[in-house]
Amino acid sequence: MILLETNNRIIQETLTYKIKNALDGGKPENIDITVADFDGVLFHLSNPEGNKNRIRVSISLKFYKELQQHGADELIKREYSGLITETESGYNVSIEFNLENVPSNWQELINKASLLKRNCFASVFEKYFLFQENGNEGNSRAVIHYRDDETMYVEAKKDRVTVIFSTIFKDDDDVVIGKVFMQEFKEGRRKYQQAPQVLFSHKEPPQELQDTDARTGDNIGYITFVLFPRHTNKAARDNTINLIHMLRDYLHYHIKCSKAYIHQSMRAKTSEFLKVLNRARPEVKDKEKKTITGKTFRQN
Amino acid sequence: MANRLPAVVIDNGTGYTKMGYAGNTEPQFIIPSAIAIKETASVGDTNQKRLGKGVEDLDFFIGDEAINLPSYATKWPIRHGIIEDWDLMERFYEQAIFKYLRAEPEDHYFLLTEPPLNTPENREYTAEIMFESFNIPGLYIAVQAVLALTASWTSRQVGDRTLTGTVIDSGDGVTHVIPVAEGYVIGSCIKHIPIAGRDITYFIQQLLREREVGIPPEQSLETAKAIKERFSYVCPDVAKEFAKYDSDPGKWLKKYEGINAVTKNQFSVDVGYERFLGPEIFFHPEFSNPDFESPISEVVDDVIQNCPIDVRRGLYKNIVLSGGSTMFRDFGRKIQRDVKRIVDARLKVSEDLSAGRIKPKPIDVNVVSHHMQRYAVWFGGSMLASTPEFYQVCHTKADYDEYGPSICRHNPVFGVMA
Repeated sequence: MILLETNNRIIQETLTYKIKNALDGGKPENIDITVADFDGVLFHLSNPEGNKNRIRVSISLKFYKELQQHGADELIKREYSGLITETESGYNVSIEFNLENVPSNWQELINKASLLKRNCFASVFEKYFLFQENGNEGNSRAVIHYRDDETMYVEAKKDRVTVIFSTIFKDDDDVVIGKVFMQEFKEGRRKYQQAPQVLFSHKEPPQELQDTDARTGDNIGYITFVLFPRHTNKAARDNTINLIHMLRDYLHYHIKCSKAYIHQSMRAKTSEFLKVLNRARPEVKDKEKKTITGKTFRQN
Repeated sequence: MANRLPAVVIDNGTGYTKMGYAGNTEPQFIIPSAIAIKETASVGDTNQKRLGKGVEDLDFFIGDEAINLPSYATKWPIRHGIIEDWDLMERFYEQAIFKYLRAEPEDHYFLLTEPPLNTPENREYTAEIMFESFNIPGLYIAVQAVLALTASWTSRQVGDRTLTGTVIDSGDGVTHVIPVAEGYVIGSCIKHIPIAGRDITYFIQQLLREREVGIPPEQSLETAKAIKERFSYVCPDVAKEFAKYDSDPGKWLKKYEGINAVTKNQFSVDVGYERFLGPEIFFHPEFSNPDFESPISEVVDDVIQNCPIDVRRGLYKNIVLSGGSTMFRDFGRKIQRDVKRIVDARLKVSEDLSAGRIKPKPIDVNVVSHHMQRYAVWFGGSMLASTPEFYQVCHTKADYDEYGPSICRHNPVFGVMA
């Protein structure tokens, strides 16, 4: 598995099971599940007002207020028309399925529901991709604090959209592995001309963020993506959003996989050394030895 | 963090891995503990061989996706409940966390489980993987039997919560009887019974093979399994049950409808004595395994009699069931009756020997059944990991960095409300 999946598997499987059960005439059961997703997202599946025929899916994002400034509400309304319900307290968006009245395209709807987090994120990108398309310049840059101490910046120019992520490495080794990994991105661009330009800067924020409150420090990295119209046009847009909003998790996933790989080779080496050790015999001590000058001696 | 994310609970069994977020009543995923990897046929050390050059280390599948995958080799890194292959297990966790649970491990505390009599070294290896590879903030390794006891709290009053009891854990491969005193497993007294879910399935399959001709041979195992899960129950007396069936077959005989996988034709099977004979092998093991003949209730009694004398009453009072093969109707009731019978007989003997001068206090025997039996271990973990106490007893990353993996050798018992 190289790429992470965009949709949430738990939401998808749970809803599929419930709706299939309802279609087969099974009795609806109680549901009350709280699950997490990347970037501190929480989902809550429940029956509103104790009605077992209704399933409400709520999502909570810490940074939803910031997304709202960039039209998250409109995008959610567009994507989930007919499913939106009154928002559960403590959460940001709620959608609802009714098991008594399952639409024929339920599989599609479930898929959409499992993409809830992605769609919340998408608003920022869509807005700025549109700015770029229309040639709107001079808009302020979008700042999303997508994790407690990590930030994403999006900025549109006439010919490109710049996306900058800041990320924290909790472990010192992660910085090294992350650096090597990001360098591979640059190499990749050499092979694939159409890939977006990627820059990685460690400790210091890139030029674009010089005048902001962007943090500096030993364990902070900045990843800059320069997206050209090739990536932001209508046909490629969705795929770009899918990939870029997962980037931080993608990077950390691969850092972890690399470490697992290194551990694997460490274990292999250890077992090899153990074999050598097992073959070793203690030296016979009581033997005559010769020095380089020809003298003989006994060691005891 | 004010809005702390739920802890992740992963219960790795030999056959199935149960995983999900703490606070829920059911695990979010129950997948086979299998991993499918590409393996080259060249000679040499397996550890060396597996180290590929490119991204081969990412080319693998876990769970249901790993079964029956052409050109991949399916491996089971856990044997008899104990992790044997750490390379594969590390990669198993990779996908379990990132693909299935979609958790950023740096944000979540983890609760993992271990079988009784797991080695302390294994705990260190687990800690190394979790803290070094995944940078998790905190880890707690719980004993499965203790979690099963915790899960049984749902069926009782808050004041009665105790971590003393006997756990009968019966899965697919083997059945354990584990005495636990105040959260600590009495390791020297654990007993294993070589009869479990799979043996019942084989036994039913054999009964069906002798009588029913309509079942396609390649489907006979799954038919037997379905019949076991759907119709089987435990009866109080086999002879009476036979008589009951013979006098009124219409009321007791069931029909199982199956579909032939190849021809798509329907076939039907009459289900008769199998219904109670299947689970009966727990009580008469000689039916299926000629080398083993102590019934489960005798084993339970033996285990408790081996334990220190001051905990025996507690162990009799709280016999907890866990695992899928304890789900048969009236299973708990029959064990309770049989154990009670043995205990009462023993008391009677000592009373007779003293010629009526000593009147022993009767011993309370109680078998606890509850709804969460099937995933009892996971559910117990989920319950414990959602209490605030959990975060206090967890080994944190800071502790790990300070003292090293050895801190995970000991995981303090917690959860008993004082």
